[in-house]
Amino acid sequence: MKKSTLLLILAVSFALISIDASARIVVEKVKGSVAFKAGNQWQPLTEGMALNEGAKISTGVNSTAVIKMDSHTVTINPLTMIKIYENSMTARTSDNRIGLRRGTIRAQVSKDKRIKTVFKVSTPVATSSVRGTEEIISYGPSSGMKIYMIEGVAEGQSNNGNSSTLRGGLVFQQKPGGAAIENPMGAIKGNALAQIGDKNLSADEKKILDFLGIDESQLPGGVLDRLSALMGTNSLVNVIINWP
Amino acid sequence: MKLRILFALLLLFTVSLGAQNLGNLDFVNSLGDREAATYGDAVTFFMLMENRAPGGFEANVAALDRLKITTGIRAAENTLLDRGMLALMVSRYLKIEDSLLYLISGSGRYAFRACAEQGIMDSDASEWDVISGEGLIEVMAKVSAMKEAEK
Repeated sequence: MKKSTLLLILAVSFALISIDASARIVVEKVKGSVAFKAGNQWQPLTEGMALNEGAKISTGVNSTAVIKMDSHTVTINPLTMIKIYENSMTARTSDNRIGLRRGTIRAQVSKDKRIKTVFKVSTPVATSSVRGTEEIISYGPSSGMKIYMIEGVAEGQSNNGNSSTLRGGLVFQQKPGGAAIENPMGAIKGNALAQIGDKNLSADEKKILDFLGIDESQLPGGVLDRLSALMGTNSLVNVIINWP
Repeated sequence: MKLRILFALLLLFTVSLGAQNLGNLDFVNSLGDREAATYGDAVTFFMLMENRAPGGFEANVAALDRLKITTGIRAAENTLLDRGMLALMVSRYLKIEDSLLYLISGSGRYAFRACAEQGIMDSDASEWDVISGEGLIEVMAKVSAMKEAEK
């Protein structure tokens, strides 16, 4: 009797240890009201907890969570709900798929040339495939899906077949019911046009340009005035475009 | 006998785990399932954003009146929330002052335009549109991000 009890305890302990060892979705940080649902009931999410595929995570007001999926990091912003559809890893592949029902997540995808990495985030209107390293993805019923690239390259593909490759400040946006994706340059166009400056700006002048959107070149006697004076004559103008 | 007591305690523990207080998540998740949000929902939301425990509707409105978020809005708790009404509260909460027409009129129409300019609301919509539960959560998520960026 005693032997069988001991064996049972050992078997349960072994099972618990093996679950923890194989789990690759781990909660790294929790702030505020954050819960997970694995089954029918929402339960508080705590740091260090291991989650399985199929788990839903929901964050409340002023609440955030950071989870590790293999070597990738996902930061879940306030008022967000996600579902982890897939998290599998072999020696050569890493497959991760997240469903974003509402809110915003920031995905930092680690790059290892030896491993074929798939990291997809799906919303009701489109899917993002990260090929780069860092992106912010949001979804809401009014603004639809937005993908902001921070570093690297990603592809946004809407459910109606339109796709766009994103890098360096470009934004993917697919609105619900929208026939086409929005102009990927829409978000940076205004800023880029406002930032006209002399290429020989000092560090302080650059700070003023970033803060106020103007620099000495736009003041009387600045580079724009000098350009105006040259209008009507043959002049050589070098334009340097700093692409973000 | 001891085994029965142990079993009962285990059952009680399991039940209490299931009924844990999830803080403001209960409110947020049930709101997400609703087709239309109410003025009362928006009032509760702003209380939570301010890290204040929501009380009754009247007490919440009084607290938000002091913060000048609901000043002048005299609507019942169950009034369906339109974008103009929400835009007024958002504009005051974020102190959006770059819309001259909103500053002059203080109306929901121009508050909505000011919010659309800031990217908080969709400019294709109308200030008269009743907002859904998910729609209210979407707007408040953007407000939360802007408030956080201010810090």
